[in-house]
Amino acid sequence: MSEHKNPYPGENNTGHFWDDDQDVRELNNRPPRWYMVAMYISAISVVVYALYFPAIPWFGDNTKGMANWSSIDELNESVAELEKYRQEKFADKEKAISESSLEEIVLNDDLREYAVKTTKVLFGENCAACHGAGGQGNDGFPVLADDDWLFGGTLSAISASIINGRQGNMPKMPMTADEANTLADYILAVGSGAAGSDAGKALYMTKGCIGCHSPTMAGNQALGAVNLSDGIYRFKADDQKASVLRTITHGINQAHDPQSQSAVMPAFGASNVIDTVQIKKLAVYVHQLGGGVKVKAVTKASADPRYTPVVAKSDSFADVIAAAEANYKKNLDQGMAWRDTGKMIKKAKKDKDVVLAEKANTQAVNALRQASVAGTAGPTF
Amino acid sequence: MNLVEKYDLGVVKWFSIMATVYLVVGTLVGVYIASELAWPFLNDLGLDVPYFQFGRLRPLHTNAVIFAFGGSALMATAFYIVQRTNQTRLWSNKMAWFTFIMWNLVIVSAVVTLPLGMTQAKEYAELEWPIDIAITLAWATYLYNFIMTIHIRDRNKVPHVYVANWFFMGMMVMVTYLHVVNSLAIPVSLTDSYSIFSGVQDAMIQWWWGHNAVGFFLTAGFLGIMYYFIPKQAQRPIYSYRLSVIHFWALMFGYVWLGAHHLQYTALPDWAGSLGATISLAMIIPSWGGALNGILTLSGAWDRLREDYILRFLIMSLAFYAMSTFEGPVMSAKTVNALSHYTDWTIGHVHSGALGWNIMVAAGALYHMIEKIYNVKLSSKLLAIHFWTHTIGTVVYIVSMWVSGIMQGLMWRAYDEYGTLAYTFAESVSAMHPYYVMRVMGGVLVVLGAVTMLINIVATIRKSGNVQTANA
Ligand code: HEC
Ligand code: HEC
Ligand code: HEM
Ligand SMILES: [Fe+2]
Repeated sequence: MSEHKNPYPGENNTGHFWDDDQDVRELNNRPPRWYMVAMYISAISVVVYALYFPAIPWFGDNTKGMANWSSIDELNESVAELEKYRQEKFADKEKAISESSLEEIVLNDDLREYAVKTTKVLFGENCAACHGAGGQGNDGFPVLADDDWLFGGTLSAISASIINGRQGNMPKMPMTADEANTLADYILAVGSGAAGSDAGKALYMTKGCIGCHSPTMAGNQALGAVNLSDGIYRFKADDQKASVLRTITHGINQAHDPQSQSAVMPAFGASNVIDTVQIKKLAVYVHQLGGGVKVKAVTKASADPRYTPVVAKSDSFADVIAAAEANYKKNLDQGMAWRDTGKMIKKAKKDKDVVLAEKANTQAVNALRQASVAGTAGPTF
Repeated sequence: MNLVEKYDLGVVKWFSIMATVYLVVGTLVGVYIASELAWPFLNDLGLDVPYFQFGRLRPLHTNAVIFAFGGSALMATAFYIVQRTNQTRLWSNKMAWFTFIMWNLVIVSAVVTLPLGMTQAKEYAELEWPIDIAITLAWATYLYNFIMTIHIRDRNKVPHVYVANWFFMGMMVMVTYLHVVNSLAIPVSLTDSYSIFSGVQDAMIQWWWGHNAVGFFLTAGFLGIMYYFIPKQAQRPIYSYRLSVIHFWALMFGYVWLGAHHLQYTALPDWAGSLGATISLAMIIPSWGGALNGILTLSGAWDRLREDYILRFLIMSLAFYAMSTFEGPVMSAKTVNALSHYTDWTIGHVHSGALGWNIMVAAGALYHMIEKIYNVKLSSKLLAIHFWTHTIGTVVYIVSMWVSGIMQGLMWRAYDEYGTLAYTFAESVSAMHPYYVMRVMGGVLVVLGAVTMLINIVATIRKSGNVQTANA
């Protein structure tokens, strides 16, 4: 209303009133003193920060600031600092690794431990997306932590896999749908330890499979042709028969057939992210994940009881299954049990099958070793 | 003469109700995407379709809460305040309804196009060019109607323009400018276009918009809300006229410079990043001007907070506003940004602003308007439930993201004794899981609060409708 009548006598307002009730109004207070002081400090801080850092564009260039700071220098300095640290502390080890053979590294406790400890993240960032954080594999991506190898578990085979990559090749095999079905049933039967049908066996022997997978079905590591007799599937699927059928009828890595199974391990030898020393370390790392072909008896028992495997007292079923169960329990405690161990133990107990019990025990022991390496995972500050 | 006869309030009612509905929907989508991060199978539930994957739903969430909820709240309050503080009807009630319809059409098209994956891929400006044009139309009519309403006021009766209106006007003008420039693009089809900017310049324009969606849309506009509803609800005069002038101009001139703080340590030249950081650091005090003025308005009336939950919403919002405008400048400083950038800390910061400041102040204002327009009293029990679920939910959300974000930043930069990285990226992801679960729980509380709000408003309005018919 009128600016001169104050409906709030005694109130130090600006004399402006709004709203239907004339109740919206403002006081004449000065802002608190600390506020104004802080405001001036803010204004000064703008000037200071702008003089300290590069901040003002200037005729096609910009002021450099008193700190002479740039983000790329900051990066280079931190990298240099890190390099210096590594150089000072570990130059000798790095040199030893670059000059030693893979076997020498594995046999030298000190070097091996250094290689393994400095490779966890390298493996985690470059390999785990396909092979799993502990090398436990994913559907379509082979397990690296067991001794069932496609291309071989010697240090040189592993190293070759990493450097050159792998791309197994299996053409689609010409046969009728019925034949394929019979053959698939046969393979699954053999894999589960049964004899399988004679018709299936005949197909296997005559349809060209033996050329690569060998007459005993044990496979051929030179070709990456998998062992078909052990029941471990590299194309593991919920419907295993469908997967086997697909492999037989469409082949593997057959570019012209979109249904064909895909199995491509990238070549890291050409990478400019991973250098040759790192590739050596990776080979050693993969080798000790659980299934590398032994170079010599080098495995030292881990001192930590959580990772020390229980050894079976005898070869009797009772002792073996007891050891398998004890080790499997440790796996569960560490959250690092393999996919099939539990099922294998159950089945072994049902059938009193000592071979299966041994297999389960081997898996559990491997998982324990794996856990002892990965045991450092998780944040600690 | 009662309010409903004196002013054009139909459009205000509908914007208010839609704001509440969009709050429920937007926060619900938020909880779903938070759950997707905690339990990834929710991304497709085995259906093998892309429509509700995180990447499709996240922009739906941000658009729903910022533009659908925030925008509707801004439009409801602006049309209410401008009429009441200028003692006049809207310049054009028809145009206001046009704004309402356009705005809701924009929202519906966002709901359709974003899950289908149609996007300009600019954060907080994802919608494709035809929708951008619709936004421009809705916004221009909003702006024009608002200014004209101030213009046609009776200058004898209302010689001065109240401060809330300045904040709204500043916000509307800046958002028009920002939206139009950032959306400049060359269409190649109805659903696809290319920005006319490229490379780092595109990124800078995008964040010039992105920051100011925050700085103007979510801050200046919401300060306009604060400047009207706190004095009304508290029945107290604004503490200081001078303070409002000072921080108004400081915000208007300061905020536009800040966008570059989102692009430090990127391809953006160093000088531009530090310039953004410099002004950001200096923004604490101007930002606090609004919080201070609102909180000091309550001096002498603190006891009102005890029974008035609407006022509590309004005042609590200022506490969160002060907190996030302190945090933001700190995060702009290079050394802090080097840790916080790309981590959940940013998300924690965003939500102390969005949940603590924007939702709370808007809820207070919406409640106040509903009581006035319908001449009703809302259930104070439900108000209390909303206040507490929302406050606790917000705190749980923010704290979990702070912890998760700082942990993430530390894990990424941690080196072990060998000078190699201590953690893989995947390890940092799995370490965040518990905090993601905690965030979901905070989010659920916020949704429950929003549902309570909707129930309270709808039930109260329906009851008042019955009373009116009974009287007639
Ligand atoms: C893109 C997924 C992918 C990545 C990444 C990857 N691998 Fe592989 N890797 C494969 C596939 C697939 C095979 C099997 C190839 C085949 O069957 O022909 C394989 C095979 C191997 C083999 C041979 C296994 C055997 O049974 O003989 C080794 C060893 C290996 N990878 C190590 C590594 C290491 C070490 C890294 C990280 C530096 C790595 N891989 C990264 C997909 C990957
Ligand atoms: C030219 C060599 C070749 C011939 C012939 C061949 N295979 Fe293979 N097969 C391979 C290779 C190599 C692989 C593994 C490829 C890989 O993992 O990259 C394979 C894999 C498989 C697998 C997948 C097993 C698993 O673990 O998932 C099945 C099943 C199979 N072969 C069955 C057959 C049958 C049955 C025949 C005969 C009809 C046959 N193969 C003939 C080379 C051959
Ligand atoms: C002076 C006040 C503020 C400053 C200086 C500021 C500064 C910042 C900074 C430095 C970031 C992180 C950028 C990055 O490293 O990626 C950020 C992110 C963000 N802030 Fe603020 N902030 C302020 C107030 C607010 C308020 C009140 C809100 C209210 C909602 C808010 C919402 C956001 C949002 C949505 C993001 C996320 C952007 C993204 O998606 O990456 N900010 N802010
Ligand atoms: Fe920002």
